[in-house]
Amino acid sequence: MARSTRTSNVLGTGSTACVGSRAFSACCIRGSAWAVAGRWCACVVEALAEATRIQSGRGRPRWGSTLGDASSTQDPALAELHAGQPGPAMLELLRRVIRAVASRHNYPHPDPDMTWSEVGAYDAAISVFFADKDGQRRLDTLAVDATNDDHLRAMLMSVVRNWFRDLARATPRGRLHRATRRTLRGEPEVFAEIAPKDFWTLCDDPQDPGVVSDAVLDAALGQVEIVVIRARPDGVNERPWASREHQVAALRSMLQAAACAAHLKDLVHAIAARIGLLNRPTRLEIDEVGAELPRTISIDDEGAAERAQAIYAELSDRERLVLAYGEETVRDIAAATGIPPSSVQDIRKRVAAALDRMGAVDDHAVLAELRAMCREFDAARTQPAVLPSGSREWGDSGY
Amino acid sequence: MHSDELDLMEFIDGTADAAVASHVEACPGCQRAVRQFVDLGGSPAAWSDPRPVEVEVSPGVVQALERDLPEQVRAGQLWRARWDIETLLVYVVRFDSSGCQLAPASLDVQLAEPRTRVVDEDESPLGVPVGVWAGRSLQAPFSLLERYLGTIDGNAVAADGLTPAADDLTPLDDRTVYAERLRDALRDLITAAAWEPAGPPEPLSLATVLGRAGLTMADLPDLLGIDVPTALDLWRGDVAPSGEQLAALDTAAEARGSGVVPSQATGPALPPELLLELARPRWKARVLAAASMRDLSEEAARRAAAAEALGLTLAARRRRTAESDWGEMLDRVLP
Repeated sequence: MARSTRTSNVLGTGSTACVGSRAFSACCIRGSAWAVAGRWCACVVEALAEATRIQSGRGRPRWGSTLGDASSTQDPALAELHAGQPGPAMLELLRRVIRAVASRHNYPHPDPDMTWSEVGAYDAAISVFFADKDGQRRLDTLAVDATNDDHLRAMLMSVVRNWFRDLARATPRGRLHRATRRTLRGEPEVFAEIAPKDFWTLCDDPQDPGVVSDAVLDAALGQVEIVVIRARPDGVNERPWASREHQVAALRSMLQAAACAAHLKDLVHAIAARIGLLNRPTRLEIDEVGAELPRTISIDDEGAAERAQAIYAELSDRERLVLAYGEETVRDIAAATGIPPSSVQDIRKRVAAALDRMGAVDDHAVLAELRAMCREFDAARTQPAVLPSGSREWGDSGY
Repeated sequence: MHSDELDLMEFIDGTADAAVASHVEACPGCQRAVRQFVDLGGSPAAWSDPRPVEVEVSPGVVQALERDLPEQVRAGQLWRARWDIETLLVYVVRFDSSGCQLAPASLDVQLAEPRTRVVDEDESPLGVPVGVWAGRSLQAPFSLLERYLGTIDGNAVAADGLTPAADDLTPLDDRTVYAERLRDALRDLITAAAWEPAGPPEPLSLATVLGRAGLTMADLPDLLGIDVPTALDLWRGDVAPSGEQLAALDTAAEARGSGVVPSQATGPALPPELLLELARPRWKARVLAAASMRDLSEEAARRAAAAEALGLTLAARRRRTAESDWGEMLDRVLP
């Protein structure tokens, strides 16, 4: 073990004694540990106080354990790892990190049958975390690389963030996101990425970043012929959703119509709607209501307006607002409407249940009409909300 | 620097450190981030003890973490490189008297490039597959090597890994990006460890420097909290000032507006032999311990240890020659 074999005292300074020469007879000369002529100098007293403070657990130095080996008192979580198995300290730390990352980014529970508010949800998430094919390697990497609990905590933050991102990427939508980015990057003469991250524009008509509505992108996509390559939604292989030529044409059309640099997420959202990746009626999320609309839909379908009006009348003001921003994330809806994020989530569930109860979940015409009404309601507010679809990325740029 | 998610979560829970709380209260960015947190339910206050998990750290990893330091750094060894709190797994490709060539290594073998040598679990000292990106190796000081993890038998890694880059991956391939990040991490460590320990071009005596700063010998006892005989020793140059004393003198000189920085103008250059000795892995843990105890960076702790070892030698009125036993001096000054 890479540990010094010297005997350590409370300061960890070993048994080194003053050399006894005249030069060292008056005082400590290096400010840490030498006592001469029967008295301790001030720095030794200070160091003793610091050591006592550390040992009493009332604080710890920035460095954590001093000798690079995990001590069970100073670095209990790392000590557990070095002993061979994550124990209570490590698992508690992991539980907190998972909760923090999931809360910040609104990630769903890795077990699709669970929600975060259920009892034992975080323990279940930890089980998935380790049962994952990369779980063993994560644990080994943490044990090898971490130098103390502070370091372990920082590493866990990265590991858990990556884990959640991997879970997200594994979805069909995530794969489409990556494929679209590859296409954009693969055509540097056509598309250019500009700051902030993930905003794309056309090389021959560069624009500043902006916010572009779904309707504009949908319309632009509708003007392009796309032969969609179908793949199983749960397929493992990365397959293009269309030929390269068609992908480029679709992206170019959207960026031309946007008249601004568009965010990759918005482009992907439009494509996903077009190729049917959002068509999951058995588990409809209210934030996908708009995207459910097929391009050929007519909102003038017979009876749709009346049904939508009936549903609209039963919605509360807050439910209408949430439905107006249905395609946005909880955070964005909260920012746009002023409704707390936790309430937004509840309202979304409530609206989804109501739509389901009224048999409107699969009725695209009714949903489109209903959403249009809700947007009008929002626009009529005394202080019109500003759709923050761009601000999310701007706001996150510092993290 | 912004707080991370866990800091912010603890702030929301009301359990954050005072430093985090005061930062968040003053930082619009963090306040915005706090507002974007979603209440997932399940407060930690209501949590029961964590449910035990059956997973274990690989036995080979646990054993590797307990290995003693080797007598010497050799090619083929696997180490954890560290500077301050940054770490990286590294493989020693070759070494000479002044340093070693290190290649980044990782357990993330799924991101291995075609030319990355993946050491399988039978050959790996960790008992799990290890990737060695020998083609991305860089010259590094010994002082980076902190924890010895074992030796990979044979020279296959060095021989295979140093071949020129194969152009079979695009620059944006995940494996290429990862390899570049590994090399960047290694480069960052090397850059951080490349402190310049040489003394001033023309070292001046402390008396001369302090005189230019408007300080006299009579100021020293009060400034440094030392008695008069010690102050005289310092003034005459019989004793080298410690790092703390130089810092105090810097502060006093700055207060007088003299523009003189005693710590940069005094003292002899540190002998290369001393620095080479200090760079040996055997001192790494004790340097880190000193840094921890005194709340210094690793560089500052090394600089202080070197200066103090030199001071010991000067004080003992030894000749500052290559024959000095720097190991003995460092043994005295490091905790």
